[in-house]
Amino acid sequence: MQEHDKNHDLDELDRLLAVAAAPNVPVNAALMDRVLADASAVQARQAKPLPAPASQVPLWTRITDVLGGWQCVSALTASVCVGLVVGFSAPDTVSAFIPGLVDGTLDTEFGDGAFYGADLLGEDDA
Amino acid sequence: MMPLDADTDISDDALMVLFANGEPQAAHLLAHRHTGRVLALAQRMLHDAAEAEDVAQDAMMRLWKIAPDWRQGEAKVSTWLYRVVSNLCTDRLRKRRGTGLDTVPEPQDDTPSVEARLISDDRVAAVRAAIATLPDRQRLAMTLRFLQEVPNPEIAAVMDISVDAVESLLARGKRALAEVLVKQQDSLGM
Repeated sequence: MQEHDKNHDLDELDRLLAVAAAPNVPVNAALMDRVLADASAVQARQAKPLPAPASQVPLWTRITDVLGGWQCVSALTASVCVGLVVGFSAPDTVSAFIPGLVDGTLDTEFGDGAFYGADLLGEDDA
Repeated sequence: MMPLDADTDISDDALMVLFANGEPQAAHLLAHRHTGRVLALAQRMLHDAAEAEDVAQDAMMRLWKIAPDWRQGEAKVSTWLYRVVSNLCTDRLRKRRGTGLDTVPEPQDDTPSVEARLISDDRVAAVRAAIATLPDRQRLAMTLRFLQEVPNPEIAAVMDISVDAVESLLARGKRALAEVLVKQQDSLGM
């Protein structure tokens, strides 16, 4: 009999619990306003910065920057010019500086021995 | 951007992504879906309307902050919120116990008046009040299961325990609840 009563109590409890269920309660307007204000503030803080506008820097300046600035570009230009001058200069320019080197008559005697420019250029003595 | 209807079927996970992308209507939908549930649990844990509102606002604030890092499919938003609320409430209950009885707010009086005791609704109020007398973990499990209608696996996730442990807590909670109510049976006409 007692077991029956206990089961009856639990059945009654289940019924009451089912009626008591209320997952939601009404939210007053003030609380909802606070919650939404928090959301707006957080969204504003978390907003990703807009991408920077397309670069207004001139192309020549950007190239100069890539190469290391105007000083580096000046040095590079000077080196290129010197290289071109050396490359295109005629051989007689060299002869003017060192007479006898090209025709083999250059006398280059050091100490005991002597050799001529022709030796330097790989020509036979005969 | 496309306006979001209040009855939309958009999932909570999708709304979290939209929120993180700056969509203000996502905040409205999430707030209207969850603030009532969060507030209900906080009220049932704390029995103090003002404190419950503070906890609800705090829990929702944490939801907004976690939105950019939200991992879709890992946890339900409701489970995550219930967990936050239960932790916040547990902290507040511990502080209350540490501050002495004089500073503890009086619990809301759920005891029905003499006349109203004859009305069925008051028996429901008596059940809710009886749940409030249970130990913390039993109260949380009973509240989530029977008042918030949260399924057992979700309660297990909220409380970080196994489903078996949840079932055990609920069984003990129901026995304890029945004992409390039996003592009130005569006065409540149950």
